[in-house]
Amino acid sequence: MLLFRKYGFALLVLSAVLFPFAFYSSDVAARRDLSFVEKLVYTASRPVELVFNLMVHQSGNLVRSYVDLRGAREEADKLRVENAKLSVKMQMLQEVEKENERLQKLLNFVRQVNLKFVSGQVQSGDPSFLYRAIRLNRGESEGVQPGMGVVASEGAVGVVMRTMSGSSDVLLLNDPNSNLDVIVARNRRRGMLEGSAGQTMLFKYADRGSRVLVGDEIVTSGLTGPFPRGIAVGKVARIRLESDGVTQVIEVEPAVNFAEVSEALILLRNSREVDVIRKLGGVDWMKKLVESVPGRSGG
Amino acid sequence: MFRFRAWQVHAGMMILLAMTVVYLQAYVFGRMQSPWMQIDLASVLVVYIAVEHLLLGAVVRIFILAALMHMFSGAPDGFYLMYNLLALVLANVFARFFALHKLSSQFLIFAGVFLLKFVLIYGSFSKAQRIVDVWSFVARVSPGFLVTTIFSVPFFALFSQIDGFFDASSRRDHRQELVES
Repeated sequence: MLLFRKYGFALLVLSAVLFPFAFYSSDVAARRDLSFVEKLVYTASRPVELVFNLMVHQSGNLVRSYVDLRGAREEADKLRVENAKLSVKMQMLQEVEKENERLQKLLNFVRQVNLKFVSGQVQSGDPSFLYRAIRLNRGESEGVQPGMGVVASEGAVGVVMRTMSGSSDVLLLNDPNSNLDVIVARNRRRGMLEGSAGQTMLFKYADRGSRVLVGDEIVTSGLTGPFPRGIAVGKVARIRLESDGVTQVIEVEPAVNFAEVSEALILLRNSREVDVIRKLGGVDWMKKLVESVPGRSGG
Repeated sequence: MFRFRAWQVHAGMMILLAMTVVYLQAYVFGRMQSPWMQIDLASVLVVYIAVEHLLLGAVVRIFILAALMHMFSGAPDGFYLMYNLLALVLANVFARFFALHKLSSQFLIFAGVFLLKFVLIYGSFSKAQRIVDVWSFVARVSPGFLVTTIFSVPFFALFSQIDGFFDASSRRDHRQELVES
């Protein structure tokens, strides 16, 4: 104790100087499950979480009920019209689906998309305000596992990065450390979508010769990662050249307004292949996988 | 019958305060759309603990705070531990050179610590993103930086009031024990 009083501050300064060296020289994007101490702290803080949950939920309900009541009649009329339109559209889609099934049978395709999902409510955001993560109120007890995809009605939201018994943390697609295998919907060209420090996402490692245009829709490739093929991710908002005159920077506007997501679906997609790659390759598995494919260029 | 001592209550209340601050930040401020609501109360609390508490106790408290922040965040492992440790050292160094009761000194300490946080976060991005996004990053963090710096002094005073209340009862309890013995 006396020693700490005498040399404590010097020791602290030394560790504060050395820590950043260790931190930045290691793989800074790595994330693991909560450590023993963090789990302990989390368990101890559960009552506080319950209180906040209750408070936020109740106040949210109160505001929502008020807003709902204000425009209930108008909304009902609007929904009736929309319902009529949708039933017609559905009948047309049923026809298309039948046709699609017939074609798939003909081509001997295996129906790939048979998704199970669990819906969850967003409880909290990232307290750093700069990294982007949300917590959903569904966890291990509902079958949620790290690496599963999360979608909203507008498109892909993110990937589950850690799970607890009753909740799970989702790394959003626009987080600077997030990456996803995607394709350009127009020409099926493949690339990697990374989050960024700004508001947009960056489309990188595009196939050589890919022609990407402003307004192009970017969707999930379904080749790697937790998402099935064709889920909307965003639209190309801006393309600019770097100062070297060669590298293209393709900025993608997210399809989902992440700040407004209040409910999301977790895709309970048990992909053994994905699990094995993730275990072997660590958390950066998707990036490593794409980088290992020859013939890819930056930008 | 088992009875908590006042210093135990004081320590417990500080941890409860840390939990409340982190949950408030994650559940309320973290869900707000406006960048002007990105008030980093946890950093204010780290500075408060750093300058007002004894070193050993402060280290334990900021470790707990780091664990709480990491529970919610998409930040890389060890980030908050590093940041809190550096903030603790920086705040202590500032406190040795500047008079803490002065408003300008308090602003200076807070601005220094918040800037440190943004530099550390920026450093944790990949090299390509750092080149591409430097101005959009500055644009993103500016409102949060300004609003937190403005609110830091009143929140510092609030933390001081809460902590002072339990600290005083802890000292009173200690004195009573001495008298009794």
